[in-house]
Amino acid sequence: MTATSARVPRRDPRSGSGSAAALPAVRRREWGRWAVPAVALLLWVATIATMHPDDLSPWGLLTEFPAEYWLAVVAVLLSATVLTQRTRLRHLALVAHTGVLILLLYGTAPAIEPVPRGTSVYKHVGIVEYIERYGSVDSRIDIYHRWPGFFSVAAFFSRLADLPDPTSYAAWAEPFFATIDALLVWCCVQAVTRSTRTAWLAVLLFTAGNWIGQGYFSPQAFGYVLMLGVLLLVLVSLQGPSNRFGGWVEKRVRRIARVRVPSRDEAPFPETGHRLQIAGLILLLDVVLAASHQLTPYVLLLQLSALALAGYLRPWWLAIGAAVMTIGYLVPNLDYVINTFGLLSAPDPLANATQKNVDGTPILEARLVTIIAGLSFVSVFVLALVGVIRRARAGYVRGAVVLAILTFASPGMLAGQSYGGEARLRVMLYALPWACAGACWAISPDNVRRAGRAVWAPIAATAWFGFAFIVFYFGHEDLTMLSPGEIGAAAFLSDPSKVQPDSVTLLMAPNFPDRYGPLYFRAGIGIPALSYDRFGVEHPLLFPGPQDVDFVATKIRGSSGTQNGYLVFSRGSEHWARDYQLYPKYALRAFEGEIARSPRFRLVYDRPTARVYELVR
Amino acid sequence: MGPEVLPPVTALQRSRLGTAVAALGIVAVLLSAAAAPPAVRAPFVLLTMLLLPGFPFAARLRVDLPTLIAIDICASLALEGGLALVMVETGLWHPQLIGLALASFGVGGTFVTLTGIRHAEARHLQ
Repeated sequence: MTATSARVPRRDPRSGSGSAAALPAVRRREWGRWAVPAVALLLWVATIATMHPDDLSPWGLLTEFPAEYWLAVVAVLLSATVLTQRTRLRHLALVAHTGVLILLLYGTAPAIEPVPRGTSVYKHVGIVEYIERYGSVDSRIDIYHRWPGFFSVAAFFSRLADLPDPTSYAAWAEPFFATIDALLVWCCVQAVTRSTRTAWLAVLLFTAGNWIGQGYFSPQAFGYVLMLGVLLLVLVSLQGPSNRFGGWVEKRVRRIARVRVPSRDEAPFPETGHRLQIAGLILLLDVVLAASHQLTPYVLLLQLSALALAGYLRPWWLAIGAAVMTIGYLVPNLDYVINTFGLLSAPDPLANATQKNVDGTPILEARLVTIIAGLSFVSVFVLALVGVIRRARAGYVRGAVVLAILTFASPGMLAGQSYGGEARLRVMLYALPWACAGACWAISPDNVRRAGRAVWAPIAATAWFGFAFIVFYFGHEDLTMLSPGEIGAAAFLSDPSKVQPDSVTLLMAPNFPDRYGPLYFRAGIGIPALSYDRFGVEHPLLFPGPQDVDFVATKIRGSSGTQNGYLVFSRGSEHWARDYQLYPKYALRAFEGEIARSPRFRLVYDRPTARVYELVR
Repeated sequence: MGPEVLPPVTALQRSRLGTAVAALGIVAVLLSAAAAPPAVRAPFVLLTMLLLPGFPFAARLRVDLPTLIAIDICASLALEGGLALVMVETGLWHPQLIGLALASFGVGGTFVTLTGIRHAEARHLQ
């Protein structure tokens, strides 16, 4: 029993009434802390029980959510933020708020959609099924078989849990990883800021602000957990005072930030365990990370190297160990990477940051969603910078420098990679935990609570992060959501008993899971989307006719000399074509009509949301 | 304002958590041996995979409770990831056997670690 509740006077049993009005004020406040997450949970259950999204508008799920969903999100965010600014922190109540917030933000899509969202999930499921079937990987197949860490663990779990089909649980990977990430972020931020209050606010910002959408059933989600684990161990157990170079950096920061107060004692460096054992665990984590994802270990290496260079990482040789693990894993795969993708995409960081990853011109709705995401991206880094400066000006220069290193190391990867146009998103993903801590310092550099009217600042920050999350994450759901019909088409096209190995699959837009199942690699190759940029420039699809059918047939035959080809029309492709204006309005439907009437194609798979036509002549 | 962090876990908390994690592992093994339906087995297997193998290591650290659990999860994933990689790369795919070995290591290691910590604290008090 808490000290506060111990002072609550006993009710007179003769009064008989159990009404809330009869409860003392303190008891009512105790109720209030739990009432918000409890009611929000009920509202969430009501939301998922009534929502059955089907054909979504360009606003995705935004126009589909009922009022109770919005009410639940606003109430939980507001209540949780206010709780973080109370004199006394109620950790269990904050755990409940965070848990419900994760369900609201990350658990809604898997709860209301019939199959896992996102096309990449199905490729990953196929590799897990391959491992389950054959007990090994074949590095000749593709890059995923060369970095099998995550897939091996998933196959391990599938066998132990007797869930041979990973699609049965893959949809719930997002709330699962979001929960573990929230725990790790809380611990990391507490270690850096030495404040549980700041840790809670940072977790709220992180959970409400991680709209990047990389927490699905994927190696990067797994790698992110391992990376945060390494950094947590470093921050908790292996921090040290700055060396000569770190001291010089701190002096420069003092001068640039115009710090006028003396440095404060902020790093007790407690002995938490045997340093060599901890270093050993970090290297084991790094090995598994290096074998799981291609990009994450390099971002971690940048962060560890910068910390070691300034003396904040003791022992410093741990950064060398991480480099040996990371580069050592790449070396045997180097030829494959260079020949298939190229090691470095471009040496121009600006070009890497701004490279487009989708074809076409977005319509107004899609553009607005992207603009809000861009503003969120900028605000995260601006808030982090302001926070680091304010923290330094408060006298905590060392902690500010450590956080700045962790936040601004990830943009270093822009020096050599565009990562297929996703580099800027990954930069934000890797910087986000630390940027959220920086944002908390921007609000309160001394980790002091904001009382009274001043509480508007943390509320505004969480509200903005939550708004940006919902708009970006659910605003594109018409492109991300899949239907059982589309998955059936993907399974058909990835089945070598139905599809010839030398066949070609032509997509009308890129958001179709063209690879699915353990033998996907034997079922032909996919031609990149027949998008407006590629198709339209060569042969504009304006008023579809037989000449367009001939053009597509020639494109299939001409791509690799094959006689077997398939053309896929799906609901998701129609949405993509609409949102990015790949084809003129109604041209896609008219084109499918031409294909259906043509003797050159035969309908081999027919569902309301997906059709597959086989090239027969 | 000075530091405002959670205190390190007490010996009692560590002992209770370790016992709960070990019990979880034993239940998961029993459910697997009894071929329980996936809906029953999967949550226990998942929690065991997240908490059991790494606990003997995490329990040795003098950290607060959330940090101990977070490090436990990461250590567990690292051990499982390392073993799963070895199985896959060598083609010696025996997930049930390795799972049983990991659970045995986790349960045994947890009790050895907790006993060691208790003895060390008793020596310290003397």
